[in-house]
Amino acid sequence: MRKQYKLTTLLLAAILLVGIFSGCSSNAPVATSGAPNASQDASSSDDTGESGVPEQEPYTVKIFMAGDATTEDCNLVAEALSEITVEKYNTTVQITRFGFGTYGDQVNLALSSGEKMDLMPNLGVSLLEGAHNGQILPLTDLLQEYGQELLEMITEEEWGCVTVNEEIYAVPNRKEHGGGMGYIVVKKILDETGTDPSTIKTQDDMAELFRKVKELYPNMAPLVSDGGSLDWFSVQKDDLGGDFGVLEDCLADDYTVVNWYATETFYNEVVRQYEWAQEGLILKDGSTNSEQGVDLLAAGMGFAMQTNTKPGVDVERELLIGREIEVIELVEPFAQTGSVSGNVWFITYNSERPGRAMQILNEIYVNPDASNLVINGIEGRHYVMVDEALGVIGYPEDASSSQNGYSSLPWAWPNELNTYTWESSYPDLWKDTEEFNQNINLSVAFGFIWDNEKVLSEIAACKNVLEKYKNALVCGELEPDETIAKMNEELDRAGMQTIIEEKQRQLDEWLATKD
Amino acid sequence: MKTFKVQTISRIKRYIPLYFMLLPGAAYLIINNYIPMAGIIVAFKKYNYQKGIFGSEFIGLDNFKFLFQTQEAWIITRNTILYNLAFMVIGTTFAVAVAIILNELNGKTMKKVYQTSILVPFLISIVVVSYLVYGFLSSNTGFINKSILEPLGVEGISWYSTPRYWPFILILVSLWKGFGYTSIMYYATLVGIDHSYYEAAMIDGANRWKSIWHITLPSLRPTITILTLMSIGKIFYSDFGLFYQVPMNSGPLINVTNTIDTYVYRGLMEIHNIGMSSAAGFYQSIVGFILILAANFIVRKLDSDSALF
Repeated sequence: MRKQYKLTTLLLAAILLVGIFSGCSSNAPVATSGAPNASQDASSSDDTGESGVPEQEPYTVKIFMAGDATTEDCNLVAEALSEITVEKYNTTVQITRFGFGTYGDQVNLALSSGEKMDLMPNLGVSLLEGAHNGQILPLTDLLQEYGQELLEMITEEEWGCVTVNEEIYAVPNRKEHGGGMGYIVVKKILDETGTDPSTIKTQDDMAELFRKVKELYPNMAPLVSDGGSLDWFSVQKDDLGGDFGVLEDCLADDYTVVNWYATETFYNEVVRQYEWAQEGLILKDGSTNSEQGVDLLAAGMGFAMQTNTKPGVDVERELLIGREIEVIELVEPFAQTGSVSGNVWFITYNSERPGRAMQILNEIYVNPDASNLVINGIEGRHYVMVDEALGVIGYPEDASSSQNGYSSLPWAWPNELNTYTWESSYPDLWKDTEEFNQNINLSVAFGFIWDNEKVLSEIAACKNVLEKYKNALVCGELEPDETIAKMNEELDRAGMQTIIEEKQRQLDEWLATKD
Repeated sequence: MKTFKVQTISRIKRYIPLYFMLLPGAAYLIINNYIPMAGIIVAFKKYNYQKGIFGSEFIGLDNFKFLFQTQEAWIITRNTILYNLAFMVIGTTFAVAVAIILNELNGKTMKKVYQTSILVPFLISIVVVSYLVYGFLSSNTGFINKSILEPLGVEGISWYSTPRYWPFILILVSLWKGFGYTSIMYYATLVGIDHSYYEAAMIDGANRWKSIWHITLPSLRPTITILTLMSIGKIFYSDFGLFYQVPMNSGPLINVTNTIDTYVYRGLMEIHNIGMSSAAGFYQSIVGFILILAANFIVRKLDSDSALF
């Protein structure tokens, strides 16, 4: 009896052990083979850089994209796209999409584990970070060999916006490059006040409008914050890549980098917000509000919210708010480096054949069929033609936006301007955007890229200080005079001047090379 | 008399099954906890994805600078330590009290009901808790402002902009959330106390308080010591949800609610520097490690039964 018992125990223990080891799968990381391959590939011609392209070996380019989509639909789109790419480059395409909530984590996981992937947008990795820590590959040589059309279609200055340490690291998306500032207001209430939107030119005019709205609706705060912030200012400042230090008026011929939070302009803006809050024109406790502005307006709990302005912003927001809205623009649109480097595409370091990835990226950018496939999906399944001549599409009869298995995110793909327009927007949207880009005013620092490597600790400390005060200040909840003084004192102690000096030094260096 | 060799062999034969049973757990511990320790080196490196952990550039203590360079950095250390000390002292006292009360109850069903209900807050997600707190403390519609202060004629307080109440609010919320779990652990010890002690005490004429003071508490001493030692090891850690979500990430409160974890989050959210964030984690664990060794050493000298190792 005892012997049997011992035997059983031994057996059980053995089974447990086997259980563990079978659970360990062998996923040999590709990371170690990725890096040497990349450098090999960029210069070597095992892909035959000339037009002997169909003679390339077969390869699959994997695109790691964001946005809700089912695996089935992604595979269908990838298959359809592969038909085009196999013919031209003997390359098949694979598309994987994750929802925005998990995309950042998934893509960082894939990059850390060296999983196979080639192309991705900058939605989980920033340009500067990726360039410094080796997550993305430099593209200058690849563009010369495989991306001639990209080089032609994108201007020199725009390439400057994605150049780090003299290497191009990303391909900027073809979309609106810049914006202005304004307010979105609910049309119905606007009409009730009897105001003509074209007469509103300044913030004071807006204040008048808010007061009228408050009279009509005493229980509703006219201006709502967007997720706790009211961060749009009625100035044209160039953030010079973020992390503190700006050009206050980026269209003027002044290259002095300043601490935005210590400027007279910022002070005046905050005082105005404070006065508005005292009058009850701003949502109470706006800084702790975690709702999006569009949701508050949709629920009838607000009249206006701040917004950037660009062609099509009205139809875009109307869709989210579900009410008729009007956009009142107060600041004329302008472009800074961030407008271009805000949405770009990378080739990741663990791509086994970066040359192929560049070819596919080039194809998607240049070919409207490819572009339409990746952005809108498959005709008949994800959309139907509403007007062939104008290139307008709509949802198929039995589907709606929430049921669509392949969500359409034009702004996130390389080129949205050569695709169809949805019937919920308007047919000339892309034409207007092209024109918008042609005529927009460029900041004097357009093309300058800021490298924050040397001042990371100071930035971390300053960000902590900013978190304490900024949202509450711009929502008008704190007394401006003493709060701003205190905030700037703490910012200086946290190393603000070091950041500003470093930025000024880099800007001066860049200016020297420009002339 | 069996020879030494025969004795050893029969001893091995007796214990082999036990060692086999240990193997899965030990394998897991080694693979998941000990082998990755080598990665601690990331805290001293400028991490490059293409070079990997061991190939990246060694930059010494550079990654740690952001934790000490500024005044902010000392505030967060102060906050973290003080809050943890408060949690330890107040939390333990309250949990022990609740455990003793539970033990003194008579009805069997009521005991079970109470045990289950005090455990519920522990299981609620801290994000949900932060909204529960918002329901109480919201300026316009919160329970406290509207249903308690307003009828009394006192003007509502803007809770999320007044820092001085928050140490108390956070300690209260943490207590409410955690006391169920820890008191169950103390209760388990109490249940194991031999009833004959209490009977002997009653015969000697001790009242309730005396028997609690002289029997219950000393029996709890080992458990309290062990749990306190373990929480000393975590003294530089904090519950991120408690310090970031519950104050609704409100700016004016940051000076009293910023801990090392929230500071790192706020500072590095956009920078994503792997070396720096590892440095923060390393700082927290190394301090905890040293403190636990020191505290255990002291405890071993005083009462060697209660020490962890």
